[in-house]
Amino acid sequence: MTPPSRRTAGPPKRLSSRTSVPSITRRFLTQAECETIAQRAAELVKADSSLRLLVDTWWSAELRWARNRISLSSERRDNDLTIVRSLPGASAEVKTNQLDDASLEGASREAERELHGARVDPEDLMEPPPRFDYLKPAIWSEETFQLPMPDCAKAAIAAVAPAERAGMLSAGYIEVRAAAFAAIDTRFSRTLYAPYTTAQCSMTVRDPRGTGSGWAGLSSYDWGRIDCQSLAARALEKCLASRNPVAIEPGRYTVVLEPQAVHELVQHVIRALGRPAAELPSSADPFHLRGVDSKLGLKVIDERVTIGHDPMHPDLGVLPFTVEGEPTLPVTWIDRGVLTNLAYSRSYALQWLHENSPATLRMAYHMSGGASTVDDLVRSTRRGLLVTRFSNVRLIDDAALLLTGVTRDGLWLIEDGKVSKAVKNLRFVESPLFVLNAIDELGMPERVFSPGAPAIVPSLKARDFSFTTIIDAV
Amino acid sequence: MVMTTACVGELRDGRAATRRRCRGRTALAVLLIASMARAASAQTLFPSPAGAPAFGRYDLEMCMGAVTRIRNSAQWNTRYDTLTAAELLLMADPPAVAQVARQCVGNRAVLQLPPGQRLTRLQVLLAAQADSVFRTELNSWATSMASSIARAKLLISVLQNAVLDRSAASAHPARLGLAEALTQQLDSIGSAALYYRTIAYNDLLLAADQVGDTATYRRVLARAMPTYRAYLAVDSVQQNAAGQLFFAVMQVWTPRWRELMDSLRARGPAHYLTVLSRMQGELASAAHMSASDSVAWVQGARRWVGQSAPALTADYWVGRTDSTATLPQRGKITLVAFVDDRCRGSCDPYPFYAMLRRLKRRYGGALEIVLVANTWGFFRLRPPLEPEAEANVLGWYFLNYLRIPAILAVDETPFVTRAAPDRRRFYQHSTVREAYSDTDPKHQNQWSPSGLNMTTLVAPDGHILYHELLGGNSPEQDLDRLIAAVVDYQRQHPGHLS
Repeated sequence: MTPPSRRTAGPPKRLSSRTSVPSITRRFLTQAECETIAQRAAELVKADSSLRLLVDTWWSAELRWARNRISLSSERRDNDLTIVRSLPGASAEVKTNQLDDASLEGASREAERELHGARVDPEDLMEPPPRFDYLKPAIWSEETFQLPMPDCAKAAIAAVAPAERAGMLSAGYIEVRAAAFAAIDTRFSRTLYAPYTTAQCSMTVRDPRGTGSGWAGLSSYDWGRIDCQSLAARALEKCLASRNPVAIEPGRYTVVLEPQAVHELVQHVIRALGRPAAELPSSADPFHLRGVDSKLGLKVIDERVTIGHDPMHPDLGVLPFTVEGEPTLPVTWIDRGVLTNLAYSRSYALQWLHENSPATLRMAYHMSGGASTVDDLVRSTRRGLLVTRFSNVRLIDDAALLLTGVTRDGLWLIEDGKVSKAVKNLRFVESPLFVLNAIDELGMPERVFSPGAPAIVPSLKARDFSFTTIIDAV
Repeated sequence: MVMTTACVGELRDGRAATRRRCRGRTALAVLLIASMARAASAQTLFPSPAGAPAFGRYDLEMCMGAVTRIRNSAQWNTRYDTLTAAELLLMADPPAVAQVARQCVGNRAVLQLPPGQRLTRLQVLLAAQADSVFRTELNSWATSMASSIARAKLLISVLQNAVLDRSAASAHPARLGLAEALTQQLDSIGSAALYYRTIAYNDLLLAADQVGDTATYRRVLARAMPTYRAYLAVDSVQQNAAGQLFFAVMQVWTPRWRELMDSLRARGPAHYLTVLSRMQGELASAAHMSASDSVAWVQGARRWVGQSAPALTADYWVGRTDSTATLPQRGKITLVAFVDDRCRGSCDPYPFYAMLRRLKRRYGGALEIVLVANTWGFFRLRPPLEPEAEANVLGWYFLNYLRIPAILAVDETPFVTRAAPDRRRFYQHSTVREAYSDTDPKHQNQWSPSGLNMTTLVAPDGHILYHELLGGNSPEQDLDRLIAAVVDYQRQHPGHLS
């Protein structure tokens, strides 16, 4: 992890003057600058109560195109400061993006006034947080940080070219971001600072007559790991193959879900992995069993599936600490189908487990798979549907984790081990837990498009996936 | 700004005289705008009152904020006792509120409050002791109401939130006379406001009882009873047990409270317990529902009263100089309070702790306070603790940080641990907590055992005089009266209860 140094000359300028507005010439604030701002804010507030500063400082370059033409090219930067003032048992926060003394003092005063009406929260007590050992995950890419804007434009032009040559319309989005998150507690002299980069590229290629659509996308912390041209080729290929779809009867089908489609279902399982909710009596949580018991230790999905997260995995890096300063640690949520862990806070860990470490829930995850490719999965299917991805997925029942949504950007009928024809999009009503219990075969895990929360997910073939309605939209 | 625009028009005319005059007026306008901008900037930055002009928006905001805080002082009074001086700087003390309120009224700034803040305006007037302005303002507001029901709602709202606001009592005393006048105003509305009249009488009677104004209590009760009866006679009113019990308490219990205390003061705990038992019977009879849940609850909660207090044992004692004597100690009044530092209950009972401090301050060596706490393996968000370390932390927390002048008994809480992957600890009741709890064990929740702030007052002869399961703010008055009576009895009959 290299600290940001672009366009810098010498040490950061001291910002402690009461009237000066810091002149930020870098893409985002350094740790020293964040600490100086916190120090200034602490000097400006009168009372000796706690002051915490959360700084989300970022630079972002984005490029958008539609109908084969670039429609937006921007470079933005901002500093989002959250000033938190606390009394024992209560805290209040105010956000600002102004770094001058008057704004810092105004925001601090505003937080104090908010504090007067704050409810007592027993977890918000001014106990010194313990010192944790934080991991150092791979979340910083110098190449991404140094990426010149023209390179983004070149990538976009290269992505548009094949679609244009084929007479199709391409639309897409590229974003590269370099940022840092800092959590500074002046009372306990604790500074946590982590710089990180993110990059994403996604595009849709559509038939000008509106009869076919293909999509491809990928995200990573490292721009070098995203091959825009192969994404463009894939989106175009899907678009061409999905033209002139035919209607089929909705019902239960065997489905071959591409990794992106699996991710759009499984991320709802990840979101539901909270332990306190699962142990609440009469809880409508999918992992609630009965009384105060969760389904921990019980088999909840197919035994071929393991779901977990290791922040040190080169493709699954996330910030090493939470807003509260708690560490992100490796965790296995579901081990060979058995629910082995549910997320909980440090407060829960202390109260119930006599431990000091939380099981922090990050949306990043890894799902195990097999050795088959999507083509292998198709070949072994007598009749079924091949799904590129889902869209507008919504939760309709908590207890069963029942979801609804529509297929999008490519749905094909599989007959006798071959993709036979494109079919019109379908609405589904299904639970990912049901899907993960009806797996026929698992494909190879691969990175998917999931900005901010990296995921590695396999394709899979599942039985009896429930489609309810034909959707005419392409 | 208008002046500047006009000058621009005149300057366009090119007349020299006007130009000269306008230069002067423009400069004046610029100065005016600059001073307004400075004032606006000052308002944004919220300078301290010392540096601000004689009166400003800051003061008014501070006043409004303070009044709001007093209204919500269930939250804020909780903190007054435990905050450091530096933290107190963040908020106005109640006396400062009265001062600022007077300033607001004196500068007529209170009239700047927006129409939606009319109730706040009345609260500010009360805090400033401007009762006559308050009456005028209220009458003007009441007459603007469209219907008699709306007027009744307004009056009851003002009565509850301003005139008899218990939490505001620290800033201004409850106005019983004013409240009585408001109830008369409500009476004049007639049967349309019957429901609101009963509420008004309830509040006024409770306030009168609380401040010990017997004359007002008796006078208002005589006026209230026909209203209660009329209300209960209305077909649509459900004849619920709780309502009947409440009216029975008003008739039987509260007027005779002093008589009960006199018996304790003059004839000692044994006689007091006899009279108390008789009164409980009368209460049940007056409520005509001896079998109802409510009366059963009243009797159940007082089941322990009159029994011998179980001996207190503990794994760790903190703040105890004499480790051999059995507690509760004979010859001393002992207040046994079960406390807990966990969950929301750890913040809510700050007033309860303040009550303990006040009682100890009043009765000194005559009263022994024993806090009973349990170990839970953690303290707030600190890393896990072993029982002995936790007992020390609890001792620091209750005796030093919360400054409760008491002895702390800490019991190790027995627990069972579930096998992996669950791994949770499930706590059970400790011996002392079990001994002092009158709740059926099968109804007790493992995580939140009943008895948080459970308070038991033990007479010097070892008999339980008072047992309150719910805790909170309410028992102070009862405890104060009981302890005062026992102390008087002990003074008149030295050595009699040892």
